[in-house]
This record gives sequence, C-alpha cells and structure tokens, in this order.
Amino acid sequence: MKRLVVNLDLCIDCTAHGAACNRVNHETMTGRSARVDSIGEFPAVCRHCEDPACVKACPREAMRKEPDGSVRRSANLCSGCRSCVLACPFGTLGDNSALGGFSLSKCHLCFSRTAEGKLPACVATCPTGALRFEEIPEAMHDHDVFMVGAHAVGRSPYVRRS
Amino acid sequence: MPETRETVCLLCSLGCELLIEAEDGMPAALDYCSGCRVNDGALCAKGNYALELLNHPLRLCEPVVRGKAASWQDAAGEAAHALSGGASALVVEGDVSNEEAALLHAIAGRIGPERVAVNFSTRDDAIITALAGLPISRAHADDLLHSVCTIAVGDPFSVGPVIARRVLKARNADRRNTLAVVAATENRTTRFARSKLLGPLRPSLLCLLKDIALLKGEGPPWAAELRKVPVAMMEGVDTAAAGHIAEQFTKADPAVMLVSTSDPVAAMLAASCVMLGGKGKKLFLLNEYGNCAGICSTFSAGTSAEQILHEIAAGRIETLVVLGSDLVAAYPALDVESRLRKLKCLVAGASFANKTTAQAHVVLPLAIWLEKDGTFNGKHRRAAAAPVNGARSHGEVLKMAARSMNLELLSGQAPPPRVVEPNAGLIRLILADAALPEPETVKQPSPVMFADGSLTGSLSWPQALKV
Repeated sequence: MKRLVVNLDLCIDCTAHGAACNRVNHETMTGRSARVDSIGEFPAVCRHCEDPACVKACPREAMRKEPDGSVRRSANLCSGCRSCVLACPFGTLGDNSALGGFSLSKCHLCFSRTAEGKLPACVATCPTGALRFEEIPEAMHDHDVFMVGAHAVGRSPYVRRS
Repeated sequence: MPETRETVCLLCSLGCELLIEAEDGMPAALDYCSGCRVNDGALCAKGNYALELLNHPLRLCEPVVRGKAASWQDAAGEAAHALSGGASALVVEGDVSNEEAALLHAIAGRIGPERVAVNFSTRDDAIITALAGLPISRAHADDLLHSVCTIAVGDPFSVGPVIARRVLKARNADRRNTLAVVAATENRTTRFARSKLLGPLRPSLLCLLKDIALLKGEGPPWAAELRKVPVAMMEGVDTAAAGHIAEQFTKADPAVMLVSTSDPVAAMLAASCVMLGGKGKKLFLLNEYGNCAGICSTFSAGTSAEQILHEIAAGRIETLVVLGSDLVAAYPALDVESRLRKLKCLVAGASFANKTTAQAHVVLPLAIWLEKDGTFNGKHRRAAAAPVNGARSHGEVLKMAARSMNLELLSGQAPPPRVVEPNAGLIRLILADAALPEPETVKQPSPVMFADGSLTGSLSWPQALKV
C-alpha cells in the first residue's frame, strides 16, 4: 500500500499541504500540522495504521479499514463523538468547525484523485517535494514501527533523506 | 464540456503554472500542472487559494456612483471627469499586465507624469529600478539547482516557497555545498542554512561585501573604497561568520545570491557582492509583485503613491482615481483615511470591498489577474475565467476613461535603463545609504492577492496564509 511520507530535510513549514487539503475537500478538512518545539510545524499525516486504534474506538463503525489499506471515515455514520480523536496515538485526527461539531475530518488519501491517477492534493502541491506518496517496504527498521501495548499500529511517515 | 486552461500565478515573481478547469465558461476547479518547468505542479498556500478569489463574498459586482448603482458608462465618465480636472492624480496597483501599464502613457501625457503612480507597497519597483542598469549576471531558477554556494538574503522560502525546491536540492546534493542566509531574524530559510548571519541587513551585507573585497585582493579599482569601510559601520555583525560566508562565495563557481528584501539599499549591497565576486556569480531577485519587472520596463512612473498622498495632504491634489490599490491598508502609518476625506472626488476601482472603496464617491468593480488576458511575468497569458458579474479589467477602465477624455491611446515603453558601470563614486553613494538607519519593515498584506487586509482574514482558512 502507498502511504504519505514526509522528508523532514525538505519540509519548510509552508502549510501548503493544509491549504490544498482544505481546498480539495471543500473546506471540510484541513491537513494538520504538528509543532516541534521552536523548529517549526510539520505535516501530521495519518499513518493509515495496520491495526488502527481509531477503528476500534468508533462506536458507530464510521471508521473502516479498507481493502486497499487506507483508513476512511463515513461522514454519514460519524456523529462527532471524538472517540477516534482520543484513541489516535499520533494526534492526527481533530475537530473541524466547518462540520458543525457533528462530524470529524479524516484523511482518505484523496481516493477520488488517486483513482484518476493523480497524486493526493497535499503531495501534488508540496513546494519542495517533501511530501511523497510511495510504497513503504514491509521490511523496515524496528524503530519505525509504533507499538501501542502489544499492537504494532503504524509506521512512522517521517524520514530524513539528505 | 470541461475545458482546462493553463495559467501563470501572479502572487510572486516566480511564475508558477497552474491549471484552471472551467465548465460552461465558469471556473470550476484548480489543479496542479505537473511537468511545467518552474514549479513541476507544486503550489504554495497562496496559490492554492487563487480560485477562491473569483467568487469571494467581498467581490465588488457593480459600479456605484455616490451611493447608487450606476452603469459602466456613467462610472467611467466620472473617472474621466475626475482625471480631467487640473489637480487630479492616478494611482494604479502593481498587478496589471504590460499592455495595461502601456496605457498609462496616454493618461500621463494628459495629466502629467508626476501625477501618475504605480503602487508597489513592498517597494519592489525601487529595487528593480536601482539594479536595472548595473552589469549583473541574472540567474534563472534552474541556476539555483547547480549553485555550489547560495546566499539567501531575507526570507525567500516565505515569499516564494516553490523556490526552496531547487535551493534545497542543490544544498542536499553535496555536503560541501553551501546555503548561507543573511536575515534580520530566524525565519523559514535560516532553518536550512549551513551558515547564517543574523541581524540588521545593511551592516551584515556591508561586512560580507568588505570581506569579499579583501579576499579578491586588488580587484577592480572601485573595490578599494570597500576595503576602507570603517568597522563602526558593521557594529554587532558576526564577523567570523561573515568571513566564512565570503570565503565560500568567492571560491564557489557557480554561486547565486538569492535576494528577497524590501530594502533597496540591501539589494544594492547584495548586487555589489555579485559584481565583485566576478566569474560564475549570479543574482536571483524574488519579488512579491508578480509582474513588477514587466510594469517597470513598460511604464516609468514619475511619482509614487506615497508622494501623491503627501500632495493630497498639502491640498495640491483634489481628485484622485485609484485602480486596484487599497491605500488605507498599504500605508497604515500615513493616516490615509483623513487625507482621502480632503478630496473633492475619489474614484476607487477594486476587486474587493476595502477601506479605500468605503470612502470613495465612485466605486468601480475590477477584474482580478485570473480574469485578464495580457503579458504577465514575461509570458502572454489568456484569461482563465471571464470576469464575474460586472467587473472589468484595469485596461478596459483606462481605455474608457481615455476615450471620454478624447485621448489618443499611445502605447509606449519605459526608456531603457541607463547602463551604469560600477565606479568609486557609485560605491561611495551606496556606502552613504548603507550608513543610514534601516527603514522599519511593516509587514504588508501580500500585495496582489490580499490587496486589502480584510480579505486576508475572510478566506476560509486564514492560517494557511501566514506567509
């Protein structure tokens, strides 16, 4: 499965990924950023975990692990209870006031764009090429795999490739 | 049937290309133009919002004359009447095409060149004019890819984030490649610097220039002036860092000075480093106004918007036509509102409602750059969309006014810049300017897109615009 990868050596904290996400998703979603001390803000991208905590936490089955590996949210089923927000170990889910608090936003890897052979909007717009959409090899170093309890939930999307 | 049009972004001088998809002539979506030379599809946060400007709730839709909706003919007649008076002036925002700028020759011929200004609130025009005649090698965007040493002045990664792609690629290609940053404070660009010089720009660049002059040895005769620069002029500068950067720059071939500043003196000092550096040294100027160079080469304004505001305060101008600029937002320190109240007639053309149109007797809805044909940034570009509702381009308004005034539409070019060979006299002038205190930099709203401050706050995701 292809995932979003962030090359920290190229990320200039320009927030273009958030603007593109917001625009493509008609203001229902905004690509999130995470502040790292005083260094800057970096894209906080959803890992589309192998064993997603958000899916387990959702009481309405609004979050699903799709056969293609991505984790998606059904806007019709979501009631905005924030269980997934609390469950996500990486803080990549959040409120979106544009949806009036009744629903939450969730990265779906721009499935309508990728179906047309295009890149996800955040990747296509990234001014420096820091965000990439690529296959992550299964055989990765252990320190790239995040564990919650005994579960390997996801792999780090952050790399440094100078 | 959806139609896709390629267009060029005008939100900085880089010239990124983007695609606008239109259905039944109405723009429906923006997409990334992969494979284009400058940006390979990438767009910054501002570029992503380009389409949102077309149907923004603050867009002006119909001409208004003294509080009442009017026809375009009546409104243009009012503009012509305002320009025909003896004490009238015209200010045009610096986001027009070359063809529109050429029309200003006709108006200037009637009301006098000292009464027509093109407003660049970030002083891009002063920098372009100052550097125009100097024998400097100009870099193209691709030169940044091959640069062994890049010195960034200011914060180019914020002004044009797409430029960072090439700069970082060159920096990361080889550990010996240098990216040095000369900036007032820490910023987006300094985070990637291998060497940096933080502090006031003028003393820092002066120190760099002196070190290059010392490293070059004999050099050209005018370099002797630089070697004599007193240490007092460079107080507080990290001389060790400056020496290191100067050494890297002098040795490197090719090397690029990437300048993004609103201080013409700092730009002159950076250009002097390039001239003195000699072989393989180039200058890349990144402006906030997309078509600044094109406008400056087409029409040479005889005055500035600031000067016109002073003339209004002195009572020497009684009627003013403003096309595109929000003077109230652009010059917050000048108490523009009270000056505009002194006018007998204010005609304000703008794309979005702003504080200047709020005071105007006549309001003209103008097209934005996406809705205009013309030459921008060195490329002829078709309009990506028809102007919304009743908006018309700056050029159409100028033509209507000129016809009402029975003016012949002269098309002209600004006189070519006088070639200036660097000499000791010029260097002494630059040094005298460098000794003056730096002007306080007021962060202007980004000039083309957010000509009015109110617009910046009313976009759907203002945080994206913290550039």
